[in-house]
Amino acid sequence: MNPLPPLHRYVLAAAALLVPYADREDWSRGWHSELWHIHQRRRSLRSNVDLAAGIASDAAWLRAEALRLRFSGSPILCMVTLAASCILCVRLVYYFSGGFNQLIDLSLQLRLSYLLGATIAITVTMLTTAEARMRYADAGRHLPPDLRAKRVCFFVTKLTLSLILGLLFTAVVFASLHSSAIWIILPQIYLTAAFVAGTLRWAVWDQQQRCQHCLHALARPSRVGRPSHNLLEWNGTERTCRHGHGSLHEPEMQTSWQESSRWVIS
Amino acid sequence: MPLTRLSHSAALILKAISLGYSFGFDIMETTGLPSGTVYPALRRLERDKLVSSSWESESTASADQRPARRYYHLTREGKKAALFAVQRYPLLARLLPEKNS
Repeated sequence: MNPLPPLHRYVLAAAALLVPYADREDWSRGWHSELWHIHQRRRSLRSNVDLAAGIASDAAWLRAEALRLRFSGSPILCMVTLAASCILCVRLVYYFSGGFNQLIDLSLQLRLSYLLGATIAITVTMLTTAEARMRYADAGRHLPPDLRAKRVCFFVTKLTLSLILGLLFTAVVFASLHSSAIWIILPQIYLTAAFVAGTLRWAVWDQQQRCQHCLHALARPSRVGRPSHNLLEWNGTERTCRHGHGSLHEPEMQTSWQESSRWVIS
Repeated sequence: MPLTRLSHSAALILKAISLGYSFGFDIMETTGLPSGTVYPALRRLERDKLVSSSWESESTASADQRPARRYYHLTREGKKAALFAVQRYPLLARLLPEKNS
């Protein structure tokens, strides 16, 4: 068998660095085989350039897929997405209002609407999610202190970022209107309350949909039981942790033996 | 992967595999798609369990004096997807010839 031409060998060696270590040997073997067949057809220079692009994009796809699998549903991805959304909102407010001075130097009317809107949203969210938060805290009592601290830390940071995002999103909407009329204060209060309440509720819901051990989003929802057997067994949706820490049983209907979601350790 | 989300190039590749073109270079030559499209698409199809792959035995490859090839086959879901692809893109059936041999 003829060896590969130097160009192909160099491109392969460089692109192999992009490929995750676990897949590298298989990837190299596959491409050596493909390139050998291609080389036999004596391809033109243009084909060689196309091939180099193919090798690079294949390696990049494998790397991207490995990153996707690693970070998909992870708490880090959640934080980064929230922080990036906040930065985007700040940029949009800057764009619409024409400078950071306007952003910092909020009018009394805006401050009042933010304060009122956020207070309404926080109060409503805290009252309506009190039971869910208590159940979540109860379910985590069996965890070691470091894991509990990690959970609380993640929740508080997520809640704070969600609150900031809700306020910033409202600011984007009103900065885009370019209006300082007094009548706008009521819609501002309502919209702030709605956005902030929405983001806070999402933060609480998202926390419940995560593994209590590793805080990754639960996956693989599957239907369990039958509604007609509700008096004999629970029926609803089961979501499992992809790292095998446990599963969350969410009943479709509240029963005396299972009123709410239950975390089951594997 | 929902069948309705099958792209044109993925449909073309599935059709090529169903016609017997079973390794990367073969598929690339038949479909006329660039390597940068074919190889990542094959990986995506394998991830979505529409195709599976297996290495040819070293003894067969050595007898033909060439490196072993990685062959792609359609799974049951892949066969359904290939049929759906032809319904969705009727010209596919005319674009690719049946493989001889």
